Amino acid sequence: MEWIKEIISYILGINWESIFYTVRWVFITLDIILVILFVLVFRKALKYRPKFTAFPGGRKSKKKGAEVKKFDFSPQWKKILTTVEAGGSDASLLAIIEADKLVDTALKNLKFEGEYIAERLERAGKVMDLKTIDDVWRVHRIRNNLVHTPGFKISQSQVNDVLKVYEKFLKELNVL
Amino acid sequence: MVKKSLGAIGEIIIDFFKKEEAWLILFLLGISGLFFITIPTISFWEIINFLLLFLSYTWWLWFFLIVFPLFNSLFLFWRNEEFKKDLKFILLEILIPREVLKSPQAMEQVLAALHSLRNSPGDIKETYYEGEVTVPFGLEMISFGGEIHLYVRCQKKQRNLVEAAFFSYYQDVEFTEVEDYVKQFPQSMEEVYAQNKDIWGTEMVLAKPAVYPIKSYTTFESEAESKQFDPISTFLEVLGKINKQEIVGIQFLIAPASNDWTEKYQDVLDKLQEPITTEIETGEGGSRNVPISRTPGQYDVLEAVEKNMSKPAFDTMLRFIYMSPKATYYDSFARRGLVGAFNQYAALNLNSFKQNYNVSTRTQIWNWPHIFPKIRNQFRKQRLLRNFLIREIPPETWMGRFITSYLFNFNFSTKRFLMNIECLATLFHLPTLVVLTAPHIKRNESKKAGPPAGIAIFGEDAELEDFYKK
Repeated sequence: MEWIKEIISYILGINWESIFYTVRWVFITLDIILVILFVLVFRKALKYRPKFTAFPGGRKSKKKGAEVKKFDFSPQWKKILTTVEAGGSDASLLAIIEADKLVDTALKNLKFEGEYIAERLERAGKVMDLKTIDDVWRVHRIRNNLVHTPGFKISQSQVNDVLKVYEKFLKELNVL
Repeated sequence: MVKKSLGAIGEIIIDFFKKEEAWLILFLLGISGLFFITIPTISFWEIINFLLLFLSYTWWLWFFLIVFPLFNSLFLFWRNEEFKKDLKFILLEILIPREVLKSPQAMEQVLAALHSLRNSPGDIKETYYEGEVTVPFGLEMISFGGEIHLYVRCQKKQRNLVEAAFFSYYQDVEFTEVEDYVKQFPQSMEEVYAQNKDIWGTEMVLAKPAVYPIKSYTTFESEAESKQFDPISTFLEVLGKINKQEIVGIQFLIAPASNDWTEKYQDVLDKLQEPITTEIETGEGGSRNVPISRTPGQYDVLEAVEKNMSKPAFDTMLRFIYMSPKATYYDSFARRGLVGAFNQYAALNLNSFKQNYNVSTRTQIWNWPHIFPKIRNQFRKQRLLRNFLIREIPPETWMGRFITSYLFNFNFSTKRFLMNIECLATLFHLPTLVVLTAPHIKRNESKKAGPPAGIAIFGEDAELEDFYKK
């Protein structure tokens, strides 16, 4: 029976309180590390969360009749038209560049992905059934020539034609 | 989800009360309860206070015990996704010859060969650092406006092995690497609506535990020509009947499961194998149990289950999608037609397919949780389309499912089921000779034959090497 007494006295002899506090501190440190790691990994993992929205088709307005436009670019378009009317060869050049930019913004807003407008146009052509897409490609090439080829000039009637195509396209995208 | 978790808790409680230890614990608790009652000086609030005191001293332990498993699960999800991101897949179109004389058994052998390409994390590094998960193969049946294509999707590095598996059993089949057709699909629901289209889709699951097989191809085969059927013909007919602008896709994502897949169904088997007894009276007024023979039906079930367990299995995700312009959109076609086509594999005493209604893009006010059915539907459509496009297999970790969930669209319902190679071969094989819907499917017009024996090969060694490189 001696050894039982020895064990009991040994157990009683241990400083339980200090062990408790040591274990406590170890665990609290672990907890803090765990929380930090959790936050870090959570941020990394968040990248793999799919992006969904409640209204992918756009919110439908309660009013019946007039179709609601998602985006409205008519003020910008009016501005372009006034630039052309103001006259001057540079004005028409500026107007075409601005119109091209407007188309690009419209495509961006409609969530067509791509690095350049060309990629977005390609995507839009694939996805939507657009009648004016070929014309837009044509005028986009004219715009590129205007910007990049030195000495490239177009007549006023051509300018009007180009702008008309852009207008038609924007109307087809339902932003004008 | 709440309903499900309540159900799960209920099951746990029922299981708990089946154990003898539980009753012992309850007995002891009762005694201690008596102890409390007999000491009226200790009130309810004192017990609460005591518990709070206890927690204030030991919260660090409980915190660790709760957060650590969550962190583990989150970390695994992150590593798994990183692993999946780096995989490179290719899509092979199967061009089948004018006639396939092989029975679906050939496909079963192909699947057995594919099963050997299984990868799984073997050690701590592979599990936690590389985040390895079993990479699935894709078997796909797509109809573009009535023209049916069959595809196999595999890892780029495994192309030769996959082709070899098919060539060994289907000599006349041809593979061409094609650009992934999903690139022609709208990439999001925004684009779907911009194209003035709509989608419907669902996932299929087994109605009973996976250890019960579905009706397999052996029941469709017979010596007599009048009794030969090919279940795939229903799919070809349904897929071939759609309008020009519509697309229907059926996707089987099969990840080889480990060979001990039957272990977790051991209790089902035990129950089936239990000898059936009946009580008879003995002469002295007592009674005893005597074993009696099974009925033919019971015997058939046991035989089918045991046979099912004898073959390797795949973790299967079965998903389909129907996309149509809004003008011709008629989801009952897909909902009834395709789901009905899966009905032919149903054996009521064994297993059958049912829709995974919590994933299906049909929500009504009558379905749980009864609120915002339209918004839930939009979320489901987006998730289904995304899963279809990227061939998503659901995350295995709890945190992974949690983090990919939305308030109105929890990601806990999508699930895979185990299916052995025989049943899988019944679901997806090259249409056999009995299928007479030749014009629907893209075929390979020429038949292959070996070169004549002893043909002279002209050319220098260097030229021959060039040839082999190609």
